[in-house]
Amino acid sequence: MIDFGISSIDSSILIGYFLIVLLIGYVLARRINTGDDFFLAGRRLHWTVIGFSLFASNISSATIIGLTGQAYVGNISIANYEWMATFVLVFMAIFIVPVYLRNKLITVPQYLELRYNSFARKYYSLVTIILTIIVDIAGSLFAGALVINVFFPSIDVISACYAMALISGIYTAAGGLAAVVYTDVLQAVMLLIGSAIVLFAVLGQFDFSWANAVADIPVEKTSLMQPADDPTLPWIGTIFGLPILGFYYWSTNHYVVQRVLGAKNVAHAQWGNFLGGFLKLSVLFLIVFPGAISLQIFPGIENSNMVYPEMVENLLPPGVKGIVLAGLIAAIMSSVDSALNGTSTLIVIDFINARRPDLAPVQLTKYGRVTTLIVMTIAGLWAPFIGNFEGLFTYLQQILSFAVPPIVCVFLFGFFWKKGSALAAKYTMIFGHLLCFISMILMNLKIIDIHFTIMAAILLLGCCIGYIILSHFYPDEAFPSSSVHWNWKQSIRIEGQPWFVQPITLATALVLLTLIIIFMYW
Amino acid sequence: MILLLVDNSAEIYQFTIILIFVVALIFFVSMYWYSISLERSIQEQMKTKESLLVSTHELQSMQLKNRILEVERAAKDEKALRLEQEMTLRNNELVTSTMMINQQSKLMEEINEMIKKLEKESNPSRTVLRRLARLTNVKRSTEKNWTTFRKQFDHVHPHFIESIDKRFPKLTQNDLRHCAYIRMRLTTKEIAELMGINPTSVQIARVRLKKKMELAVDIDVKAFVINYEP
Repeated sequence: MIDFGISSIDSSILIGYFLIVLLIGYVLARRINTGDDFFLAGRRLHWTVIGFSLFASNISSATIIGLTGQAYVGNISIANYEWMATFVLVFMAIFIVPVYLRNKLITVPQYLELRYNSFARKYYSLVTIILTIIVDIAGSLFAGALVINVFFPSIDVISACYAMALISGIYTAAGGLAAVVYTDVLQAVMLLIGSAIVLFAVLGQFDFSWANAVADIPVEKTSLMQPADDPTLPWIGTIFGLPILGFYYWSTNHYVVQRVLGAKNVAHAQWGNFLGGFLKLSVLFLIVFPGAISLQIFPGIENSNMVYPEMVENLLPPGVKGIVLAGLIAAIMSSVDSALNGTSTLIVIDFINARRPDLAPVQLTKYGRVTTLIVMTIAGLWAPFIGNFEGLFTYLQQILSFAVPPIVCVFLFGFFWKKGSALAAKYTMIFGHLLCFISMILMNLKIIDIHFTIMAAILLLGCCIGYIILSHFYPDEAFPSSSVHWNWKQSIRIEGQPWFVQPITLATALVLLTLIIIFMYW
Repeated sequence: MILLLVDNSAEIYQFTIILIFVVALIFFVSMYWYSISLERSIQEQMKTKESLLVSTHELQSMQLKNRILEVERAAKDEKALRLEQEMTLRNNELVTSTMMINQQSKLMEEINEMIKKLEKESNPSRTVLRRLARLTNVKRSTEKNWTTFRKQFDHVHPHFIESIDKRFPKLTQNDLRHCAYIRMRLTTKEIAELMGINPTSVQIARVRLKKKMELAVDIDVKAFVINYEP
């Protein structure tokens, strides 16, 4: 255990930061009148806000510490999750966003009701709610509490969990999505500043020269495409598995998509996606590379989770440390608040409002606040126990990733295949999840021994075959309206905007930039 | 663990300050720019709202005008229709009354002839018979019929006979009567009956009529008379 020297300047910077975040939540809470205000920030989000919020919700403290540590012990292929997100966000902007916004969705499962039937919506919503509370929110809280505990040993994990849950729960319940996304902008900026400072400090050990810093790293460590037997991330898994997981996370996972649904219009939603995708590219350089480089500075760290704390402790002067820590804590809060708000939206809109459509907007907001606090309490109470049931929690996390293939199948065919039927969607989800669960058990028993990203691709293939066969033999009697399918014309052009901000131009530029980075570190 | 770390505190401070300064600068510049564009868009919105208001007002007044015009046109149509209906009704009345008068006069003629025969065969109270004969004199009744007919006809087709008589002075009373019948769209057979001649004679009379009116060869008298505008 290292003894961290947190000075009073650092602490006051942190406290000041918390106060600013709470203030933003308070100011935005007073602007809320209707359910649309609370759940979708009044549908008037600007693209910059959407982009930063996508980035901040995605990066949690576990991401920072995990990516740095993985790059330290393994290789930078762990960054594949990051640039794949850029591709997925571009794909989503062009193909999915116009469909979502045209149908004026409040929740993502609502799409399944429009496309299939209300069973599909309820099922997916319920699965998401349970997994988000038990795995996502509690997991983020626990990982964040561990980080806080490392830097402030006087604060134990349990109280750190409660404190994080309480702070993010309060401003989320008060300000709804608006509070979440506007604080996200601040959190994303803090996170980026903190990461840039860490990168700068790491490079400082090599005369501030990128070339010097990476010169002595073995080539295979800085390669994104790892051989097929690599335990971190084999290239087959990168190419076939990651797009599936990415599509689930960015395009169908409600608590991430929610800020896109709150966009001012389709153009802002698309631009927000592009900004989010662009920011995700920075992760490779700002977070992953410092980890890989620091192997030369601090050789011999055994616990990979301590790599980032070591860097912060040993390289940063007082004051700056507080800023970087604020960024780290920002990462925790921005993930927790998104998940809290997303889950309460799902509960209120998909279950309470669906049963009682006569609820007034003010009542919806009230329900949203109460549900946010309830979800916060459940997740906050469960989070400290993750340490005691570490094995159980690993399984839960696995369940989350094994729940993905059937969902992705149902959504993708929903968008692009008019003949996909409601019955096929129902049984693909139920039996697909059963199949995924069985294969998860088999993988844990080492009966199937392949990387789980490859397994995800195989399972998706199985789900798709089942879905197509079922749709063929049990077609729907009436087709849903054409607005639930992707439409070429509505995705490509934004009226009244110059060519260089057209989605197709930006998408091409972003994809090219990503490809250049990939080939640089092939 | 060997740590041979270079102390870069000064550079890191500088970097941090510059970074925060740059971020703050970008933030304020973009907020400034955003507020300007927001203001502009609000102004534009108001302007379009105003122009929308004006145009809706114009649209409404135009719609109102159109509506009035429509109503007026409908009223006019209605009036014309009623007038036409009345015309046909009067015409029909005219035809029936003419027919009735004609039949009456035919009957009278028959009676008159019978009286004349009676007069020749025997001599019972000649004065009575003569009086009878005088009472049923067809010529007189025809004259009288014509005047009644003309009164009614003038009512339906005002100034027709008058105008045609003026324009074609050669026409006799009989010719005018013929013209009136044509104008009433009676068939040749009906005209023949009314005028007490056979249909062929009606056709001959029509040819003469054409000659008297000095019409061009290719003009049909019937059509001319029907479409004649007094």
